[in-house]
Amino acid sequence: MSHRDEHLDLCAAEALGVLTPSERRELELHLAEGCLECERARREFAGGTTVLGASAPQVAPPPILKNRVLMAARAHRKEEKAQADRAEYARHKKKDEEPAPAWKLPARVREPRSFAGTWGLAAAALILLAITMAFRFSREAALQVKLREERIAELEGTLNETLVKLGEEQRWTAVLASEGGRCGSFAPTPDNKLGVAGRYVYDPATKRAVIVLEKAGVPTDKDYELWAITPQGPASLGIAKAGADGVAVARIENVPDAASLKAFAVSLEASGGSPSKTAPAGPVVAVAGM
Amino acid sequence: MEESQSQKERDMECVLRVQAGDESALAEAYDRFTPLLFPVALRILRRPSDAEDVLQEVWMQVWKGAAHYDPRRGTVAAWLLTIARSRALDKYRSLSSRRAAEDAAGDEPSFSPGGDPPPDPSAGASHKQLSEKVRSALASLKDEQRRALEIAYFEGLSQSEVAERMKAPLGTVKSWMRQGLLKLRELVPPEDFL
Repeated sequence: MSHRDEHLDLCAAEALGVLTPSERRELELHLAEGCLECERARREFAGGTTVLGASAPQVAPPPILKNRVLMAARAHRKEEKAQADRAEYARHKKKDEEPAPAWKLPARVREPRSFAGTWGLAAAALILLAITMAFRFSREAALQVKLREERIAELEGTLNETLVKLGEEQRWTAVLASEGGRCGSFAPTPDNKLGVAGRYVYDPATKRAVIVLEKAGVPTDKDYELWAITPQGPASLGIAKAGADGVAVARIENVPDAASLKAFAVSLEASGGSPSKTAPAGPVVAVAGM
Repeated sequence: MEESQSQKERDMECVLRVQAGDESALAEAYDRFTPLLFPVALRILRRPSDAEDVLQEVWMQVWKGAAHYDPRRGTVAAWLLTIARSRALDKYRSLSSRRAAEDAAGDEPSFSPGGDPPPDPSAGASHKQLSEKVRSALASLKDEQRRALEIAYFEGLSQSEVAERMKAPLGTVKSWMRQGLLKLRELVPPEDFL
């Protein structure tokens, strides 16, 4: 199969990671022929794709993400180590319980023994037994200690994760307890057929809000979407999904500042929300003024 | 050039240390590359919490050694970008919000109502310079070239799907993509990259 321009198109699609299975097979067959032009193009296209990746608008990841990653890595490493220790412990235990293989047993030749010799042998056997038992117990004890240490380390990891979650909860609790916080209820509009109701708490200092909707269950092809209303128009605050109890709790960051925020609103949208992030597509069912 | 070469060697060494279980290397790699990876995941998924989950999965994949870096295939940054994009697209496809995201395609993602996303204060000078260079390279593409590439890259659509979306002949779309990628590569050569 000689080189054609179409092969370069396949190389471009490969670099973009959008080859279909049949296109991939075609490209692989062609590359197997050792096409140097395509190999060079693949390198160049890959460079272009990396540039595309770097073109995404720069947004800082939240600082807490680094802790999450490092803690997950630590927990994984500990779990791996604990598994290895457990396997080692099980291996040793099995080995200790196995009877000595027959070929290791010395051939017995019964000979008449003297009285002193018999007692001497018995004493030696007892000492040997005591030493073996002590060795075995000390090794088991050491492995047990090691397993306990691993368990403690695992628990420490869990505790750290819990502390991070607690910190997150405290951040949101602070919104609810904020001195300058504002709260209010949503008033239903005539389009509110499903009876959704709710309240909001908004902290102007941190520009965070917590919105709780009740009776927020919707058919599977629908979603409630939350909106901030400002003089510039509505801005989506995301979808509010209700749990089995029909209650939806939305924790929202970067709410517009108090000077421009005029109201919160809830609209009933097709599943996934309004196609536009600046205008509801479905009916507005509840509004809460500031 | 020499400086970027030694930086590439440091990056490779850092990845090897991460895969050998060195936690400080993981923290170092995280600081260096997450400012590059997070925006890609966010651009694809549009919801910060989803992008965070993807980033955690990416770093765990690297940490567990489940993904192996092959220096012959490109820089560490390119390798990590490929993993992050692929994971983000997998998640995107599994989310029921695909239709809404497609409809909204073309808009820049906006998570802070009434304003642009906050700039990354931790981004170093080199990162900012690169970012400016990349933006100017993208701006120099023809609109349709840029759009075809962005749809394919950030939404994972095949060339035929992109043609359908843009209501353009398939051959034309393929040509836009090919020429666009070559131009980007020409304007921001790999040695400039991170």
